Amino acid sequence: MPSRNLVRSLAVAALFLGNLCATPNVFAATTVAGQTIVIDPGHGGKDPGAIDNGIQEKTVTLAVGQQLATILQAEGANVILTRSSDVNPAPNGTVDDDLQARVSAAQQAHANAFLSIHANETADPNFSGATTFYGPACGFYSGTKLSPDDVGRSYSLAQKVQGAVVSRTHEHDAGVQNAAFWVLGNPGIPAILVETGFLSNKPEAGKLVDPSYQHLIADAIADGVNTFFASGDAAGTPPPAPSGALAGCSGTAAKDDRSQAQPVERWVQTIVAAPLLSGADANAKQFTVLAPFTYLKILDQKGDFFYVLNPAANSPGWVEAKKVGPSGPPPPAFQPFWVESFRPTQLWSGADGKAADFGPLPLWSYLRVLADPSGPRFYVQIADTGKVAYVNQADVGPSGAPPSSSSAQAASSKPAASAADKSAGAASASQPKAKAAAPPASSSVTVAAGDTLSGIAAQLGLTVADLIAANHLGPDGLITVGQQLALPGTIRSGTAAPKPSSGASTGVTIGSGDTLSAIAAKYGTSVQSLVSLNHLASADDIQAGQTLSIA
Amino acid sequence: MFFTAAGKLAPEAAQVSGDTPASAALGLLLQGPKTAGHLTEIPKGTQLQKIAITEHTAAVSFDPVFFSPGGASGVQLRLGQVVYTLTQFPEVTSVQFLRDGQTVGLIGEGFPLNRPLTRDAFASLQQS
Repeated sequence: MPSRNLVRSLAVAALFLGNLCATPNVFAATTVAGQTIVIDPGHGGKDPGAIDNGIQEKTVTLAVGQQLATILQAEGANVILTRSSDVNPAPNGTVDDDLQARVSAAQQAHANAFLSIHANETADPNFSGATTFYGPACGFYSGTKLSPDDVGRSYSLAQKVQGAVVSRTHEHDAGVQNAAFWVLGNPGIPAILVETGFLSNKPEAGKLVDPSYQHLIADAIADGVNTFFASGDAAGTPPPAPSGALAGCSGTAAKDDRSQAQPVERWVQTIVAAPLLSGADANAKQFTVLAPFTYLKILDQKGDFFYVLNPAANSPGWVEAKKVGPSGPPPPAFQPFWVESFRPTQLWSGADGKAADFGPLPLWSYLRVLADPSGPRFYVQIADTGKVAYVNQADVGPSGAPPSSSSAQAASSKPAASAADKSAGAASASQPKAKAAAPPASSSVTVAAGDTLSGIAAQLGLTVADLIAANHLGPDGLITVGQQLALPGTIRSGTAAPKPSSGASTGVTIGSGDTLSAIAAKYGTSVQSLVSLNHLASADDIQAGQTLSIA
Repeated sequence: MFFTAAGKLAPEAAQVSGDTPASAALGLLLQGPKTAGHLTEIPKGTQLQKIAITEHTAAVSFDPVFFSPGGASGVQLRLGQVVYTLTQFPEVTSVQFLRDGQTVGLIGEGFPLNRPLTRDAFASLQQS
């Protein structure tokens, strides 16, 4: 391709001049020369990828990836392959580990581009051609979020590579597409996943295993990558990606690359019902009255008034400084949602393996997810008890619906042990039972002027929901200056895990027909805790008459 | 229902009735396309175990056949067929896929199934 030969010559000239003038990379941004490029041949080892017409995807991806590496290296790029033989990058790991290893390779190398190579498959044997994927701003399993510029750069790279592959192969153009594939969640690095063609299309499958066609594809991808660096999108501001790729997470994208150069957004939250005024004067015309806890973006400040934007109504106005809390970062975009446990599961004090076991959660418990889940566990509030804990995501399903209004009210008023009672069935009132740790007598805080519920919660390591539940506040969480707020005993404040109220070293004698899981449920602990506490070989390693330590 | 044609989602009309039209439409989707030229990416033999709609999220449990491995386009279209079919109904805006009643982590080329999916996730598959 003439244009690329020219680019290639310029690259060589740039390297030469660079060495001569001791100003390396002066032209490097226009070609792949000097760029660090991570090439990721998809699948490998125990993961064959798609299989069709007798061809395993992993063999095609490796062959094309290696040819692409050779081409880009010859053009002066610093190339890293995530695999160069038939292995998983994380050979003994899970699928997650394998995919994350590919992303990590790019992150550790501070790569300028990440190219994942794949081969496609569909039920339609006639469908053919390359497709190039780029990632959306959010929706990745890893919880990764991308800035609009990240998405725009990847989109630009995808378009250029897709265009080059279609024009060189003369195959059908299956288009540029957006999907939250794990490896495309690669913050700060233009990342694409090239589906080189369809193994399900017999003629195309035949070509994809032909080394000369593999070379053609690899050369075309290299063309597209060169065009991308020549376009300036890699370093400058890329054209925006289609809005669909940015949808669903406005305000939650990772910090934009340019954010450091821009003034930091400051927000305040109303602490009481606050009039939105036409001027910086208490007697100014009143536009509306903002509900307590409305988040407002600060546009300006004059005397004792903030000029703010109410994003919900997109209306600016003035608000008295004494009616809002301290300024802070933008409000979290996360919206709590409801899930329901669909199988018996454990509650945990934290998200990691070191977390304490809080005991079992009854089946079909309603849980409100309070924090943006970033790992395998949700941070939840249990509707029946108002308690907060962590629970494995895999053990709960979407409910969408909050529990019925009577049990929702019960969230803050029902005795904490009720859930444990229900699951244990036979637990009588005289039995020790799981109980939310009572707050220490001194654990209250007085609301001062300017305090917000979220501010208080953040200071104390609690959530707003914790405080609302502990103080029977209404759904709007209205607080007033001078009000005493009780602090819930929660895991966040370092309170110990729920224990039977009879204290440590409770002994229980096993009756005939007792099971460890029934005992665990009855005493608000878990089978696992009982096994380890009593040095049992397994959950079945008990017999009638034996005494078990509970706490 | 949404089937596929030329790598995109292709709508097919049918009349459904009853209290749970979304569920009925999903049943028709699993039966396969009636229009010549339409295909389905839903693996043959897929069993629908349960569908429950709460607060605009349809929790749909399939047997493991539905989650068979496949290529990027095949898997995206497969998920898109279900999401587009169910979100035609005003009571559904997102779909949570479940395998044997349990949430699934990843499918295909590392696509996440751990959260409810809306049409946004499959916008590239719409016929233009």
